[in-house]
Amino acid sequence: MNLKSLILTFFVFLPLISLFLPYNAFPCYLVAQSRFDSNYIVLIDLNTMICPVCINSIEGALNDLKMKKLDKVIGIVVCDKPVSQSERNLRIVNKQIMGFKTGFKISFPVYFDSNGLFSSLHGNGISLIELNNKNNLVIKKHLTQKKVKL
Amino acid sequence: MITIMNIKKKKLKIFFLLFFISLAFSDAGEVTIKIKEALTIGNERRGIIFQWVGLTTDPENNIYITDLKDYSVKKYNSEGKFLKKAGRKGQGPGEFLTPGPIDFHDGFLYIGQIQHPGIQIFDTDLNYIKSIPINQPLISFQAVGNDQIAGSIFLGNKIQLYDFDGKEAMAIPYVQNEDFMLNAVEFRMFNNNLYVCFQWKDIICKFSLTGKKIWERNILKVKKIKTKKIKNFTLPQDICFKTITSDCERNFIFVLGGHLSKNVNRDVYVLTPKGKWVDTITLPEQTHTIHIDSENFLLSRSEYGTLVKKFKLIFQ
Repeated sequence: MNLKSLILTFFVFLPLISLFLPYNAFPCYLVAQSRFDSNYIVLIDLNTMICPVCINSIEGALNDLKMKKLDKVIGIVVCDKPVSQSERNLRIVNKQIMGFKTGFKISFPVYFDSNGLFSSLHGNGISLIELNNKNNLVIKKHLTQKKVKL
Repeated sequence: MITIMNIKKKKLKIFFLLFFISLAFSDAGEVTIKIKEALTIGNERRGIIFQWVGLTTDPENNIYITDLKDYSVKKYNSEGKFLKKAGRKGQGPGEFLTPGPIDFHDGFLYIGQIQHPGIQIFDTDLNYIKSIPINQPLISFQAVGNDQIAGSIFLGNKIQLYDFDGKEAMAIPYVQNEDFMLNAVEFRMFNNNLYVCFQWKDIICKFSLTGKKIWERNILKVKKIKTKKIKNFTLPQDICFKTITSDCERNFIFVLGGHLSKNVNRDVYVLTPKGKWVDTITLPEQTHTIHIDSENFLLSRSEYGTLVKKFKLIFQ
């Protein structure tokens, strides 16, 4: 699947399908994305987020985002490995995200990609996906040191 | 016939003598220890404990935890009611990068950081008082009185005492070899003794404060720890022991086992001050640390550090 079809799937077809589905039947961050009409998606690596020492490496990237004053942003926490879907596990990850938002004073909504839909776009640290007005052009930047595989 | 009777009597006498000697030297008797869950601190979904790392209590059994996620120290009362929070991300006074181990001594809290040097002192209302500029990160530390901090470092072989200006005072060596990579320890000083458990070796020891070894125990019966070679370094893989503490009632030693325990990160080995194994407690969930307060409640981690569990220790 190339990047364009991936984006079309996520941001056009899936939100359209979601209109015909009950709210809980679909990953909430995609529904949120379509409602927010966001222009930016911030991908945050779960392994970096839960690692006590690594997490400081993303501070610069987060400060850069704040400087840009992006107003239509959602954050998505991604993981390159399958994550247990147990209620307990999701509860723990969601609480860690709450702590991460509190610690870094993040104001935009952040969701956990529990279904692994964004795992192919995964990169260490933080990446920023920028969409144009029609949501069909994507520029991906890796905001922390390591390069991302596209 | 008489000689046979005499021999039997002698054997009986020796048996009773040995029995009474063993009783006299036994410092525990037959003790079993049970735990009973008493309290959960924090809310599973909405609470403000995000990933606690260090925990300590004061004489009123107020609970203080350091939280890695929101760079804070939080205070709860003994019933688990949230009282106060302090700290934020940064490197200034009262700020943290990786808040970690915490200790209470004589009315003040001492807070260290994971892989960052220095200790900060707070009062029990969580007001920042001052910093102690220790120049290397400490694995484990304890405020020991006389304005001194005892600490263990990653590649060390001694417990080093520092004054409040960060200057090195006396040191207590706990191992003579130069196998520095495997010598990391957690320790606790009380009743004028030093108790040490090795992270990467199956060794628990007791020393006098002059550095004389009083006893050494191998609880796990592990001969060799798995290692992995990364470039020129041979690094250990499995943690033997994670932390060491004691209770206030009997001064028993409680050592939390790591990966090599039967129940990984859940088994707590209990020893007498003389080094005799008493019992092994198995906690319901994995934890990275344990602490025992002045009313003999054992506190441990739950749900990956988003909750604190409090258990009553019952000696039977």
